[in-house]
Amino acid sequence: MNDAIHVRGVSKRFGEVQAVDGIEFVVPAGSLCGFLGPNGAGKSTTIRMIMSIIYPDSGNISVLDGSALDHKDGIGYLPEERGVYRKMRVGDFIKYMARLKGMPSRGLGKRIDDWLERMDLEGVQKRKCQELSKGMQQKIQFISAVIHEPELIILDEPFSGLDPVNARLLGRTIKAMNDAGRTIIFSTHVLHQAEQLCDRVLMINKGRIVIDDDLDTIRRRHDPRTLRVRTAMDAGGFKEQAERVAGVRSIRFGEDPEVLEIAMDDGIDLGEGMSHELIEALNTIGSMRSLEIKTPTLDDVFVELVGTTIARVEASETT
Amino acid sequence: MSTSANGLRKIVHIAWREIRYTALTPAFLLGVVGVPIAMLGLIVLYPLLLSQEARPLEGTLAIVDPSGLVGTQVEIILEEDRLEEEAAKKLEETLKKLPLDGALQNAGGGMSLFRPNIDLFKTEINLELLVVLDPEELPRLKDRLQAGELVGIAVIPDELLDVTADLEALPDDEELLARHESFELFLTQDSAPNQTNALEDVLKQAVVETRAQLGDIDYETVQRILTRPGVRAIRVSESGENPENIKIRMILPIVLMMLLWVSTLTSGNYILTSTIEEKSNRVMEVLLSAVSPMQLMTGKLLGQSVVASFMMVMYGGMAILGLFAIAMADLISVGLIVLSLCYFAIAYFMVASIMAAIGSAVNDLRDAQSLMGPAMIILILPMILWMPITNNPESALAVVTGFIPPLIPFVMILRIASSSEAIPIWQIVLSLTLGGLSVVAMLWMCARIFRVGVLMQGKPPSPLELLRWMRYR
Repeated sequence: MNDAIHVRGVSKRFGEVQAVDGIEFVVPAGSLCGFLGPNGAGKSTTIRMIMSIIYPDSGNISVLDGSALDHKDGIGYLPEERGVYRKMRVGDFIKYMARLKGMPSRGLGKRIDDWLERMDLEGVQKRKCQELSKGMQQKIQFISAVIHEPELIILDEPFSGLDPVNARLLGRTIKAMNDAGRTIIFSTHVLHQAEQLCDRVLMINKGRIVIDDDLDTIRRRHDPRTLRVRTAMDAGGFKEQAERVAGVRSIRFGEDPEVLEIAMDDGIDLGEGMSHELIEALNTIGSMRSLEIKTPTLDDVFVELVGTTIARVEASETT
Repeated sequence: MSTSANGLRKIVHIAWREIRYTALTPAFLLGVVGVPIAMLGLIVLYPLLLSQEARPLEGTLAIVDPSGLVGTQVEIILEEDRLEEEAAKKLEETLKKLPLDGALQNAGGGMSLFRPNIDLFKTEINLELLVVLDPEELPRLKDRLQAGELVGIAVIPDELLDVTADLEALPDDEELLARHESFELFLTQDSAPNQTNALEDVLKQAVVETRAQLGDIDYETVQRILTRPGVRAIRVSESGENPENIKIRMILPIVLMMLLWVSTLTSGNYILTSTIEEKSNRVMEVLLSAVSPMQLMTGKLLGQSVVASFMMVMYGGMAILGLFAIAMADLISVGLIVLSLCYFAIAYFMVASIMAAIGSAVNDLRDAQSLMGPAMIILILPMILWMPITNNPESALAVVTGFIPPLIPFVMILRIASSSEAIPIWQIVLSLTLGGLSVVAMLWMCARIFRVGVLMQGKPPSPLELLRWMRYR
């Protein structure tokens, strides 16, 4: 089996809203895939269709070479809506979910203890779910989603609502599960977490996949061709002279007023073959404390792609 | 493990959770089990408590009776009562020495838990009589009453015993008329109502019997003449003659139907609230990642069916015990019990599946009220039909409504329990078949709604939207 999930031409409409519009992508087995997109982009709808909780209007979805319905016990799912039985005890709730996921009762208590310890929740088994904080309930729900050690784990916004310490703990756990061979796909708004964890990124906007690639390829493709220069002299004077250097398209001040962001023309090589002439030309203007090539973050890519779409939509609405 | 076995196991887990968090909770045990048990206990204890707490009537009763006849008659009546009481106590003692501690007495083929003829509600009377012929003594007697030496003074006017007096021909004198129609009874401030009643009863009886004596009439003969006879209705059929107990026969159908009604409605309500709770707690999507909506609904229905059956057996068992207690156990047959269980299953799955569908479609109980109409119609119509059907179980109304799916279980139970003749077998088979088919259809429709409804949030759907959900892929 090569692909854990294969989505082909899937569309879904809710009344007047086209939630998902002919998307296609694959999630290779063993990958850790981030599913990114702005609010209302269609992430949760896509995930629910993958889980066969709702069904596409057209197209088809293959999960673990079949339907999610056939592999419910092989999938761990954390939905966007957090929910527990408020009056059930924590241990009973996890046990109930594990049993529904096909786990035998033998050894289950020990495994629950281990997971609670792993998620920094020792000693809460006997407490009722409603007595726990929201973040703790979320971790309980995460445990109940993965306790049966599924082959494929689908997490919808797993980091939302967690404090930084717990978000980091959850990130480490997700990474460890992926290292143990699990295929994981998770949606998130926290792009730097996706950047740290994922080896593959899917980005959806307005119901369409706008990125489906590994992280390095995405960075290369969305290279902003920008140099970041910190000068030792007056930044304004440096900017004036640098604009006259061959190959410079535009210059703007960075967030730090001593830093200039110099956008280069397309033909200029900013990689290993960066010409000495360019460096020399800049250096003759004034001494530089640092010169670096700006690496695009997922934030940059996200803003670029989503911002472009929004601008396009706004433009079409005004015409 | 095969897929179907795995699915079945999941359904069992869901069902067990429903039972665990419905029937094994303090609220359920207190409300559904505790209250009936407490009521049963109260029924047993109530007469005992009453008998122990009724203050006996003891002391001296003065009777101002110029004729002296009423006083003598009161003495006779009290003596007769005392002898009766003693005889009853002796009988009770004898029964206690019999096997089963005398608690059960085999009577007429049935079991009776009742004591022999001892009236537990009767006030024990232990009076001494002071018959005074001179009415002039009354003021002095009143002083003695106030001093606590007497329990009461009855003043019997001569006119009261005048059996020949023509009341209509009397002069228009209220006091005179009152003396012909009533007597005065002076009591102390602290005399209990039960004592007053007991005293009044004895005195009235004594006046009546004295009048009979004065009129030279045999009181017992007159009493017998005036007593309206009872009726022992006997149903004659090809299978023989069966005695009829009309009152019980009228009560039995409604008792059975109410059993069906209460257990069905209570469990349906539990399904409604637990489904709404799962939606409002947002745990539904977590569940649906592990089981299909159909498995979830099936598990819930099966779990609650155990709870409903438990209620049915508990309340039904109490009713049957009650029939044994009053020696009417022959009214219940094995056939009736089996058919009751069949109709219970039909009623339960019909109402519970509707409740599950409604619970899945709404986000809180308030929203559910607007969609409860169909379920309430099913539950209210049998109440309206109860009287006409029990009065005439063979009428066209009874036969036709017995084949209308939502009403089948309730109407058929009413018919079977109230009819003196056996309901034709084809009608029972047809009603069970139609009931079974309609349960399947209802489960299918409600499962379609449930599947869509469990994931819906926001505004509750209209009935039309519910119909549309059935067609969703």
